[in-house]
This record gives sequence, structure tokens and C-alpha cells, in this order.
Amino acid sequence: MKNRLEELRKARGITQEELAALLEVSRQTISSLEKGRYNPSILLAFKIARYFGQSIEDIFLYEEDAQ
Amino acid sequence: MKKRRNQGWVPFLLGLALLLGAWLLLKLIPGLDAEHWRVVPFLALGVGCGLFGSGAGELLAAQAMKKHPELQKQQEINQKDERNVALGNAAKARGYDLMTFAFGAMLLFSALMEADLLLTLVMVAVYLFIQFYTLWWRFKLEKEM
Repeated sequence: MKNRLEELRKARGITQEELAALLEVSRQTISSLEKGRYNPSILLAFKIARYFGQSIEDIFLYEEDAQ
Repeated sequence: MKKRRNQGWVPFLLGLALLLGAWLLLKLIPGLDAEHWRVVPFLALGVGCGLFGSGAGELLAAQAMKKHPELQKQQEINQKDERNVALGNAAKARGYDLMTFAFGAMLLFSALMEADLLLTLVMVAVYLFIQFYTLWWRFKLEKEM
């Protein structure tokens, strides 16, 4: 699933390590999320959305064709 | 951190006791040549070494973590990290699938080679136990999810 995580993180001026520490996940998880290789659980998606002050749909871009 | 240190002391002390017990059995008690007792000190030695090593490792890790709390925090995050957990579970599932196949093949070969019937039956029982345990978890999880 495509997402805007990298864009939002860079706009905040924080590193993957810092975001990982804030969300209490590993840096590899952030990296995999940004590359679209890993889809987060609904709980992590909510945590990410809350941190960036946006809705889940605004961050994670669901494409029906990709499923 | 306290919990971690306590967890290390139990196998450490139990392992030490087993090692001492094995040494006592081998050196101090004569007439240990009886067929049934010969295996006991070596069994105690093997289990004792395992427990002692594992406990000592736990204690050393806890000691290292005490000096670097940030490392402990990172380790906790890595253990609870949902991607790490998912990767671990997926890897275990693949391993289980292969084990089921390999176990089945081993049972077949055991039967074809006319190996000891009791041994084959024990292996069949273990195989069935694992399969039923999987089914039991499947039903349990069906109710929970």
C-alpha cells in the first residue's frame, strides 16, 4: 500500500529513528512502511495518523487495483 | 529489569545445583554401576550445563542492560515491534509446514524400514499430538477473533 509517511516525516524534520522512537516501533518498521513493503496494523495506523494530525486515509492510500 | 534478573537466577542456581549433584553422583557415591543409574549423573550434567549457561547469559545480559537503560528500552521495542512479531510468526508458520511434511516422510520411512514398532508408534503419537494441538489453537482463536 502506498503512503505519504516519508513525505510527512520529512516535512516534520525528523529522522526514521526519531519517528520509530515516538511510535515505539523499530526503525526497520518505519523504513518498510515508507517503502510500501509492510502494511501497518490498524493500531499502528491510528498512532501514525494521530502523530501527524491527519486521518488514516490521508496518509495511507488505498488502491483497489493493487489488492 | 528486576523481573529479568529474577528470571536469570532460577535457572542459574538450578543448573549449579544439578552440576554439583552430577559431580557428587560421579565422584562420591560408589557402586553407581547399576544399569538404571548410570545415565542419571550424565543427564544431570547435560541439563545442568544448559540451565547454568542460559541463567548466566540472562544474568550477564541483565547486568549489561542495567548500565545502559536505553539499550533495554530499544530491546523491548524490538521484541514488541509488530513487524518483528509478524515476521517471526510467518517464519514459524513456514517452519511448521515443513516440519509437518518432514515428520510425515520420516514416519513413512520408519514404517517402510520396519523400524522398532514402539518407536514408530511413539513418533506417530507425537505427530498426532502436534496436529491436534494445532487444531485446538485454531478453534480457540476462532472463538477469540
